[in-house]
Amino acid sequence: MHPHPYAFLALFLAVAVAFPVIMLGVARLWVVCFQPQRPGPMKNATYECGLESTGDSWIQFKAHYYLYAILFLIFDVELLFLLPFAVAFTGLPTGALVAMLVFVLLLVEGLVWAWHRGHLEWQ
Amino acid sequence: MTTDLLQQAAASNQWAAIFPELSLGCLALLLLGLEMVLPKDNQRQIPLVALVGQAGILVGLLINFYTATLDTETFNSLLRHTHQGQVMRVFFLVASLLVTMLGMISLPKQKVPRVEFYHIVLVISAAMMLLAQSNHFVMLFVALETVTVGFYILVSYFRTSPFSLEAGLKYLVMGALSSGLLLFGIALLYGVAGNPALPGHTAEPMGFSGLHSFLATGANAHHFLAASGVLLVLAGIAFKIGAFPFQIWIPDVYQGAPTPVTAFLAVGSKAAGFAVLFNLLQVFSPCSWLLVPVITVMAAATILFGNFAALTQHNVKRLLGLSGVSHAGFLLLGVVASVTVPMAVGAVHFYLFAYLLASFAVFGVMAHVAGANDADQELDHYAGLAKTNPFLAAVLVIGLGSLAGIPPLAGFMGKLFIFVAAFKAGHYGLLGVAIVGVVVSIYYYFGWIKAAFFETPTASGDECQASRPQISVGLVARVVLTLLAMATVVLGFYQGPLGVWVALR
Amino acid sequence: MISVSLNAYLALSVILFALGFLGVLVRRNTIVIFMCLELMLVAATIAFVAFSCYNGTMDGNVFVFFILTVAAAEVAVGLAIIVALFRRRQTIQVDQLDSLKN
Repeated sequence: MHPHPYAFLALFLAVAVAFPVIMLGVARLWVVCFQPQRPGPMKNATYECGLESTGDSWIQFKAHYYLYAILFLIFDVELLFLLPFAVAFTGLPTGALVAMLVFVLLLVEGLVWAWHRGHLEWQ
Repeated sequence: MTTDLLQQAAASNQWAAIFPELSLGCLALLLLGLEMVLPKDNQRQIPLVALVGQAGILVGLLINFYTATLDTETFNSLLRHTHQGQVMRVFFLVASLLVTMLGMISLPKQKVPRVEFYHIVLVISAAMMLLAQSNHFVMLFVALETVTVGFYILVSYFRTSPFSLEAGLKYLVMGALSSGLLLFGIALLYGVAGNPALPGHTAEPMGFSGLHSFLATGANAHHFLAASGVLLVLAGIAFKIGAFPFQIWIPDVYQGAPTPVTAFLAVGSKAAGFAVLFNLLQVFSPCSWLLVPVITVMAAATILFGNFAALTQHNVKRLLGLSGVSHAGFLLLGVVASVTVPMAVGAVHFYLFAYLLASFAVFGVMAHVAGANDADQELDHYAGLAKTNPFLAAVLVIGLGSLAGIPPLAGFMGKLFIFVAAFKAGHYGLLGVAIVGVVVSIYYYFGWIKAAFFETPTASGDECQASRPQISVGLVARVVLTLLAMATVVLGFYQGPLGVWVALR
Repeated sequence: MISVSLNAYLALSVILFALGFLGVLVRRNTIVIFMCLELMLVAATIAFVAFSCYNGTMDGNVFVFFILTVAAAEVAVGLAIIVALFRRRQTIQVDQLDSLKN
């Protein structure tokens, strides 16, 4: 009798769920029975390598991270189009190369414009 | 795919057929290049370059109107060149010329970078022109999304104004929602038309001719997935048009967007939606058992909603937005009549032209009267316009009269043609609703005219009224507004060549 | 190996689409609305690829490229608008962004 093809997956899932549940359950049991928690101000303070923490934990968001991320996204999608072109390259006529070149040059002009405008400067 | 198949497909690539769109694209890139190269003092010439370039492309398109590629399919049947497609190309080019001119009036009032505006307007117009000729769902989707994403940028162009940004966000969410609906509809149609188990399945399920032949075979038009696909695609297009369930975005977005962008949305985006709708109705004609009732109900609801909601508006841009919704309702009346009466197609195109002329006349006046806060344009700001600037008041009256459908202006003739077509098609109930709509619309248009002619500006209260200097109208703007007003009046009397030209199939 | 029928893929696609649609209508945080919009596009992508496999044509697979490009462009523009709006209004909850009214 052949085992079901997904039987191992089900077993794996069961073990993966049971393992942390059992560990956390045992830890919880220990706390409840032997070591009740008594939180206090010194115990709950934020740990910062032994120093006293001062100030707010929120940091100013640098807008430039976002600009670089967007430029990366755009050129990544350009790459997405270049990949099948590269795979099918040897079977394509010359016109296809011209079309792809025009496409790449359009995006290069966008990059040149962003460069000229100073969006690539890190401030 | 072997090389000869590719060569065959490439042989139908007629680049000369899309020369206007290619030149618009090159002009857009030229503008960016000029901005990088020219010194700061000469940068005011760049919008003029855009204007002159577009005028040149328009002249070229008109000269080569009856090209050799008319009535053929090019680019491996991605594009189909019809007379109606050519007419809409001219329409979009005229609209983008007028938007460029409005931009030259409105943008100097704000501190925003200028050149990108003209660049994006040109890209959007090129995409609209391709949209009017598309014959394949891939082409339709790419062109439609180019237009939509371009408008996301334009609506939020005044990036220091919270109104503009909020309008951009609202347009983005609603637009992306409708794009998702459209996309899912295309997916369903693709799946069902290419299914080997069904009769009439095609090898090109996303091409319009293949899809049409599939829907025309047997009972395919009643297939559940095909019908749902058709409805979802219609929902996606209804968003661009501003038809009933999908018109919620219009007042807020029209108010927040910069005035030239509102004009472009009101005229260009709407007309693009209708051009696509006509193409799609031809493809989906076997499904008219479903489409005619749905579009009838949509038209009635749109007319009623647009007119009654516009009654309570004080903000001029919201008023034009909601009245634009009512115009979309009248156009939908023409569309539903066109299923049985062929003359309705010409009527709708004529109405679109009359709407273009009248809207840009009104938006031209608005661009001049608007102050530093572009989103805050109320009816009270027009009080006493007849005394301070009679030229603008006269243009405003002609534009608003044409939009209201007052004889003998072009808008009246447009409405008359559509009503005649609807009568011939037998949609008497819808015609009654439309007439009620016209009567209601006269009230709010005349409210605006009354403010301009019969009200005097209050000395206290409105600070921007008191501190606004005399509105000066430049020479180019004066000429263009005069031409628009004169064309509206002349077309009301004598449609002649324009009427014949837009009505030819 | 058990083969999965087309209906299973379609059901998955419809469920994801419905979840995305509901999410856009119900959620208040703008970034979550964006994620739901992307979820709708991905649901349509799954439908395209499933149909392409079962119909034997390549059109669906090719269309996915264009969907991804459009999604990327929308995300770029949309996040730019959100960042600009956040810097101006200090909030991205849509029920607090209500300055446009009559």
